[in-house]
Formats: sequence, structure tokens, C-alpha cells
Amino acid sequence: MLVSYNWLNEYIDLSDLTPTEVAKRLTAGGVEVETVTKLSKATNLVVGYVKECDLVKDTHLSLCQIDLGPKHGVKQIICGAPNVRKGLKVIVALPGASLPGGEIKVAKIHGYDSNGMCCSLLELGVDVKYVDQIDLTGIHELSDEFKVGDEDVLKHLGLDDTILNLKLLANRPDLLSLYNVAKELATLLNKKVKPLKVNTIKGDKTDFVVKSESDKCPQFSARVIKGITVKDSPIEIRKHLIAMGVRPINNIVDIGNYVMLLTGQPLHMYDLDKLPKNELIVKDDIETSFKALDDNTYPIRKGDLVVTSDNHPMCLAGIMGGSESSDSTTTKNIVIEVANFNGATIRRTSTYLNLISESSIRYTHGINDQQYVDVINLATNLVKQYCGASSISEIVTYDKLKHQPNKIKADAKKINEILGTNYPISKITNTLKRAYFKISDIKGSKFTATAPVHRIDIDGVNDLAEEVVRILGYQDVKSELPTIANIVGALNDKQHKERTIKHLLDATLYQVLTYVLVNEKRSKEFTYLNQATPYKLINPMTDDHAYVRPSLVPSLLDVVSYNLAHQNKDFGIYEISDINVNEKKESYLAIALTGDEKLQGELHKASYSFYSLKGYLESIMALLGISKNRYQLREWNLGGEELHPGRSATINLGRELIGYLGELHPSVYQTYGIKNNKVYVLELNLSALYNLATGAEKFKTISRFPVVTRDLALMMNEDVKSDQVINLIKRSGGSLIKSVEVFDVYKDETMANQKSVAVKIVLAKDDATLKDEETNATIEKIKAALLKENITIR
Amino acid sequence: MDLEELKKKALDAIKEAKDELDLTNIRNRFLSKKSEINQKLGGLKDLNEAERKTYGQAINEARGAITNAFNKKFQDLKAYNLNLKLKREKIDITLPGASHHLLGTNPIYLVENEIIHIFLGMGYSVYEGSDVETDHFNFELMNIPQDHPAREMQDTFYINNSLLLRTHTSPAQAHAMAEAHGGPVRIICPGKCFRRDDDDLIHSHQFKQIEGLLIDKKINLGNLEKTLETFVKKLFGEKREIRMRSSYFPFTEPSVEVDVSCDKCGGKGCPVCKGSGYLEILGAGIVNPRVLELNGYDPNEYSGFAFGIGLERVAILKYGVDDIRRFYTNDIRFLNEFKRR
Repeated sequence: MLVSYNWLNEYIDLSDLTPTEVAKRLTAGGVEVETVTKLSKATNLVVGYVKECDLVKDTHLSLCQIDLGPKHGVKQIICGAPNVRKGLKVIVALPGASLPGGEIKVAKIHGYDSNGMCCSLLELGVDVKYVDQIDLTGIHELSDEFKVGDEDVLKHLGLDDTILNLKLLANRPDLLSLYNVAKELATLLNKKVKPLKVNTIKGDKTDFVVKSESDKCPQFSARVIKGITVKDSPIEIRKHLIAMGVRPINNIVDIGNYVMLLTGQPLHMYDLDKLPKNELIVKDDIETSFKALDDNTYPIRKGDLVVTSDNHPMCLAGIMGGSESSDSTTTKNIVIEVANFNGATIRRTSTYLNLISESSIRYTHGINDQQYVDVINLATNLVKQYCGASSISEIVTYDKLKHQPNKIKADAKKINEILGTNYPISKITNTLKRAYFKISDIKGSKFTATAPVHRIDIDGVNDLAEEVVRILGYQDVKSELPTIANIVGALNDKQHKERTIKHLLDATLYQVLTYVLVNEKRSKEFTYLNQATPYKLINPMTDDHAYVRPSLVPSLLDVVSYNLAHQNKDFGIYEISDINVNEKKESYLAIALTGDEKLQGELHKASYSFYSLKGYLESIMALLGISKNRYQLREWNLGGEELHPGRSATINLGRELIGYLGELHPSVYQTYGIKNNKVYVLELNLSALYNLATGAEKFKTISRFPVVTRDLALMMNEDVKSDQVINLIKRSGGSLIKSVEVFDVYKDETMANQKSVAVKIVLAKDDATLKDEETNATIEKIKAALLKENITIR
Repeated sequence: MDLEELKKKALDAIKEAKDELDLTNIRNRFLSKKSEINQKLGGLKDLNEAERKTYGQAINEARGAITNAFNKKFQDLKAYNLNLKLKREKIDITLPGASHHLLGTNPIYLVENEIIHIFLGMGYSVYEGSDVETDHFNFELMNIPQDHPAREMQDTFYINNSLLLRTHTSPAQAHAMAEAHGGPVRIICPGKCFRRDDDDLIHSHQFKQIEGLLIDKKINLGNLEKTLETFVKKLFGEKREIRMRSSYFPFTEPSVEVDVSCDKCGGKGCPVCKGSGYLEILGAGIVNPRVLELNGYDPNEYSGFAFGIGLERVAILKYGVDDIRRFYTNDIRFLNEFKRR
């Protein structure tokens, strides 16, 4: 909401403050002022009279002698505007003048001295929407009333205003009225506002009929004024409209807007002669189309409020008038409408039609329903003053409003309890009086507060507490930590587990944060863990963010792709995020690796591989206390063309699929714009792991007897898995086997379908030193068992 | 050679010895069985008793001195050689260390962890909400009924008529209150939020918040102020001050906007804070009695406060990040700027 500082000063004396100080006070009181700007920043202007004006040969320029009054004398100025001519009064920016376009200097143009510049309003910084055609193509033509030599030309043009841009909160629609802003300032600054003088006009009897057939319009009033002349508004009205961001149209429209800006109550002006019948009736049950003032045709649905006459829509109630029934330059007789339309209904229609007006904004946020008679009279007086009026009718009204005062039973003790203050009741009631509350029934600490009619947001003691503290400031609030009932804070088991996993991964991977909303294509990729249809938004902003992702992997791959395209190579990333599918929420982990793992910078690096991912998985399982026999890695059996079928695996908890890991399928790289880099991905349902019961860890005695180590080099078919060999050795070796580990795998073309696997076997006895004979016997047993499976010793 | 001369000669030779070979030769020459000194010892038998005693002592003394000098020299040489060897083994300590060092991370997580840590210390628990919420929890229970103007303030992504992406972390308040069955509550809820904004320098359709809610008997605005002041000083430093300003949220009354003093100018006003001396960081307030009622509490018995902290906002203030989209682009170079935990 733009607020004219000059207009405010007509209702409250702010002469002891600067606009910036006023803005600070408003902001501190909860009415945030976003900016304080001058309507025109131009300086060093003076009214001039063009005495001589001759074209400079072969140019479009005019050489002018301009009389700038006794102080500045006659100055020679070169002017390029087509409309400059002898006898014109113009705005001259003197050398040294600061204009939005830069500083004015004495110049030599085509050999002639030019001592200033003739200006258009545009050049003074006036917004293009307020200037007419002449100012767009030429310089501003001043009317004859301007005096030559006048240096206060901005003031007389109404352009010396300062604009406060208020960021209004949803609970203060009353501040969509300049007069209420003045009242707000009076409250905060402990000043008085000048009363809004309303000269009540009774008017003549009329047979004009108003009625509402909708409960969404509880009040509708109108007045007929005949014999008016439509023309431009006077500067007194125009300047306030321009300052508040509203474009002047003609005196009738401008008066409607002027009164709305002042009071917050929207008005509408009809051309009486264009109404099919001497009536205005509000309906909400018609379906038709409607041509509005903006020349667009809008559909009207059942439930939309319209003002009709003889069953024809005349106005899209509270939003915009009709192109046919609104006033125009030929209008002689008008009907002024002041009505109360339901905010929610207006909001629905306005949102549906994507049509927002100053009027709809005010209805949507809620209006003061107790001031309509004053509003009509204010407008009537202005019409009488500026448009002429041969006859004025009585106000005809339909009113089903309950005119009951908003009384709140309050207790000063309760207000102090809410605020943590210790104010005496008198301080509280006096403060509320500053905000135009009426105080009555004071008994001890109890009292009744009647809210002012413009404060439609007040509905309880907490609101009163807020009024008190925002007016008096927060310095009396006693700041102390709460003492609390017996509850303790801590991370729960799941949160603790997640934190542990993050600590582990943070050492070697970057933790990224990506968007939950993805496009349709991405929503269908890497959905192994979630086959259900992902959630789709019914009102996305863009196609790129229209689906709630069922998998984290596509998001990570997009991050990988971005970084590879920006010369970041060799990295691993991870994200832990909730996945929402099918009304269930689960925590997922995804990892993506590409390039080399820098074990010691560039000096010592190793390509990321399937086994890097597997390492992360094993570490996480170990951290969570999930032993290796509780989960299984299975060879890829899910098909698809997203993961390399020979270098990928599923992660299972028994029958349940809880994750997968592997190298990307060659055909995926192109989808993500990844070139010449292998990428490895893992996705794991952490919730499935968090829910697993894990036993407590218990101390076991460390054996004091030495261990024996034996290495075996084995030849076997290349399809034999290392796990099979290890299990075979453990089974055949019996209880003496403490551990078996593969320490080398070798294969070359001379070995046909065979490979060599070397294993290190650690043997020991828990209760005695192992004898050589025992070791040898065990190894022989193992060899025999291996041989049975066609595994030979090299 | 007389004994003194012999001793001097031996000691000089030991002194001059360059390596272990020299030393071995010297030992053979001066201390072996055939050495002159031992021969002298053999010659003792030709002397009378008194002479033998005196002379024998002198020989033994000379031999002891030579042996000691030899042993010392031997140790010195050994130490010298070891030192030489260690010097040859010297490495370049400026080469990079093996990578177990912490990598950079998204600063949003840093801020989130720090805030959670601070509130855990003040006795709060972490409550987790869900990205997908119902209209009922996101709006109705937060005192934002259908057609409330506040619904415009947070334009919402809908999945269907009742399901939506939460526009704030406040629905966690309603869930936590339901789980507390009318008893005291002290939680924070970190989470992702979504609003129908175009992504630009300062807007993001996805952002993170941490909601806070405390409900007990006789909770007042001063309790809220001290809690947030404690939080701000821990997060931004002891020198920072907070300021409350009246504001509006449907779920709190009174509502306040909380500003933190500008660290550039310390509250005097500068371009960073646009002259105000303060920077907006969060919204808060006393829980609206209507919200307490809606969620099964008796507002005459219980009261509380709530606050909502925007993590992007905090990260931007704390680290001076220039564009909110950077948090969601995850450029490794950007992430590498944030290593401290």
C-alpha cells in the first residue's frame, strides 16, 4: 500500500518528524514500511516563459530565449521537443539541477550556448503511467496559472510528495485506508488526528431500488446524482491519486478512487441512463458472461456476486464494473454504489478470473462495515464540488448487518501474564484508549474494551495484549527463560542413528540438498524401491517441479551432471531425505560416486567402484549393529536399463528389497548428459534399518593364545564367488578357523575360464596353543573339501 | 714405549678413528692379547712385588682408560651413523595428507545442525513432520480456515483437495500437541517447506524451516524473548542483540518479528541492514488461544510460544551467500567453502 505523506499531513500534524522517522515508528509498531521515496527527485526547477523560439537550421532543435523571472533573468536554451513554441510556460531545469537522468550542465549545442533544459514530467521522474501523450513525446505544457520564476513548481504540480510503501499484514486491512493510517500514527505517536469532516446530505426522495438476493452481500446502498459534467479532476485530487499509485481517469472515477483510498471502502459509479431499469440488485446465482471495464469478457459462474439491473449484469461485484454501464465522458446522471461484499466470495471469483483490483483487494481482506453512510456523503460532497449536480437523491439502502459493538471482557492480570509485564490497569486502559478502544466497567483488574469499528481484527484478550505491547514497546517485557515441567529433550533412537550415519559419510562424501519436486521423466526413473505412482501436483509452477520424487537417485545424478559440466571431477555425494509415496513417509539414503577417490590428493588415488559403494553399505550396517548375516546382497535381477546388470546388486532383508547399488547402465549416461565418466549409485531405505531390533554388544574374553596364519593360492572356475570359497573353508576347517580373507584375485588370458584367488586363513584355539599337527590336519581337511568343488591348490 | 706414551698414542688414535673399521683396527692394536699393553702386563712377572703392584695398577688404569675411550667412541660413531641414516630417510612433509579429512557440506545442514544442537541443550526434543501434509493440519488446526487471507500469503502446492506440500513447519505443532494429550510440549521441528514461488535470487519454491513450540502453564512473551535471545547469541555470537517487532501470524497472538542486530554496523545502520541496524531472522509469538483450543488444550490453563526460523535466511546472514539457488545447485566448489562444523 502506497501512502502519500502530504495527504497524511492533512489529517495529522507530522511537522516535528521526518518521513524516515515516521517510517521507523510505524515499522516498530508492526506496520512495516518497506521504502520511503520521493515522488520526484528533481531539484533546481523554475517556471519559464518562452519569449522567442526559432528553429536551428537543418535540425529539429529550437533556439529559445526563456524568461525565468527576475531572479534568473532571460536564458538561452536549446530545446529538442516538437511542442516548444513562443508563448508557452515550461518547466526549466537550471544548470546544476539533479534529474533522474543525470545532472544538467551548461552546454554548447550546434554552436549555441544552452543554459538549462525544458522538461517533460517523465524527465522529472514521474511514472510513465501518469503522464499523457504530450509529455511522452515533448515537454510539459504548464497552465497559465503558473507564475514565471516560480521555484516551487514541483509543489504546485503536486509532485513534491514522499511515498511510504507499507507492507501490510493480513490482520490489518483497516490500513488500506489513508485516514486509518493517520489514526494508526496518532496511536503510535500519541497524537490526535483531525476529524474527517462529513457534510451529511439528506437528498430528495427517489424511486431507485436496491436489493440483495445473496447472503454474501448483507448491505448495499446507492444514491442517484443528476446533472453532472465529466471532465479531468482538479490537481488536488489528481496529485493524491498519483502519489498513491492510482491513475487519474476523470472526475467521477477519480472521486470514487479518492474516497476509497481515504476510507478503505470501495465505491462504484454507474451511468444511470445506461441501466436498463431503475434498480440495482445483487445476485449470486446467474451464469453468463460479462464484459468488464478492461474490455475483457469474463465468465460468471454460480456463486459469483454480480450487481444486476433488470437481470443483466452491470458490475462484477467488488471487482470491476461493466464496460456498458460505467460512466463515460458523456455521462450526465450517476448512481453511487457503496456495498459490503463477502471477502471470501470476492477472493474466490477474483482468483478464478485472475482479476485483481484495488476494490477486490479491500473486500478480500475485509472492510469496515459501519461507515457506508459517511462514505456516500463524502463522495457526494466531492461530486457536488467538482462535477456539478442539479439533483441529489436520498441514500437508498438494503442493510441486513448486525450493528453490534465488538466488546471484549478483559483482565489486566491476564494481559500482564501473556506479556510478562507488570503494568497497572490504568496504563493498560490508557494505552487501549490511544488505539481508539472504549473502556468501561472497570472493576479491580477487570474491564470491558469496545474495539473501534475499523479494527475488524480484534477478537480476544490476546489481541488487546498485542495492542498494548506494540504501542508501548517491548522494553518492559521481563526477559527470562521458562521454567518447565518435567520433560527432557534428546535425540530419539532414529535421529541418533541418522546423525551417526551422517558423521561417517561426511568424512568422505559431500552432503547435498536437492529439490523434492521433479519433472515427470525423473519421477519414473530409479523407482525400484517404490513402484507406486508418485504424487502429482494439481497446481505446479513449472513442469520441472510437478511430481513428488519417489527416488533420490535422479536428483543426485543431476547434481553429478551439473558438476561434471562445471569442471568438478572426482567426487562422491550423498543425501538423506524423506520419500513420500502412497501416504507413507520413509527416510532414504542415496550415494553417487564418480571418478577417483583421492586417497592422498593426486598422489594416490583409486577409481571409485562397486566396492566403494559396498564399503559404505557395510560401514553403515556395522554402525547400526546389523550383522552381515541379517542382510543379503543379491546379483541384479530387476532388469531395466538403468544399472549395469553385471555390476549391480540388490540389498535385501530376507524377502524385503531395501536398497540397491551398482554402476550405471551405459544407456543412462546420455539421459543425464554425463560423458566419459562412470558413475556408481546406491539407494537405501534407512527406515527399514532403523526399525530392526539389534542386540546389545557384550564383552568376550580376548584369547591369550597365539594365532597361526596360513596362505593358500587357489585356482577355480571364474564364476565361483569369493563368499562360496570362504564359507567352504570355514565349514570344512571347523572351530579352529578364526577368519578367512581374500588377499588377491588374479586372472589373465592364459587361464581360460579359470581364476586365481589367494586367501589368508587365521587359525587359533581358545583354550591352548595350537600345535603344528593340528594346523596341518585342518589345512589338509580344507584342501580336500576344496578339491571336491574343483578348487585346486596352486 | 713407555706406558704414558702408549696410552696417549692409543687415545689419539681412537679420537682420530673415522669409522668402525678404524676402531676395530685400533682395538686389535691396543687391546688384543698380543697388544703392547698386554705384553707389558705379561712382563709384570719379572718385577718385584712392590713394583709389580704399582706398575700393574698403572697398566690396568691405562688399559681402562683406552677401553672407556674406545667404548665411548664406538657409541658416538653408532649414533652418528644412525643419524646419517635417518637424515637420508627424510620426507617432504608438505605433500598432502591421506584423505580422512572432512569434506565441505551444504551450509543449510551446518546451520540446521547448529540450531538443533542449541535447542537440544535447552531441553527440546526433535519432532519430525512430513513434506506431504493434510489441509487440516497445515491450515485448519493452525487457525487458517478456508478463505482466510493468510492462505494467500502462502500459495500452496496441492496434490488433491486434502493433501498438499506443507507451506510451513507449523503443522508439526498440531501433531506434537495431539501426541502430548493436553500435556506440556517442548519441541523443535526441522523440515522442508514448499510455496508456489518462482525461483530467483531470494525466492525458492522449496526451503527449510525449524519450528519451535513450547507449551506449559504460564508461558509469556518474556520467556519467548529470552529463549530466542539465548539462541541468537549462541548462533551468531554474544555481541548480537535481538529486537521484537509486532507482526501477524494466524497461529500466534501477540505475534512478533524478531530481528538480530547487524554484525556489520552493530545496530547503527549501514547498507547491509538497509540503514535499520537490524536484520529479520524469524517470526514468533504467543500461541493463539484459538490454536490451543483447536488442538485440545484449555487456554485458561495452558499457554505457550512458537517460533519459525528460515534456514536459508540464517545461512545467508551467517555466511553472506548471495543467491538462495546456490543451496540447491550443490556446486562442489560451493560446498567446499563450508568445512567447519
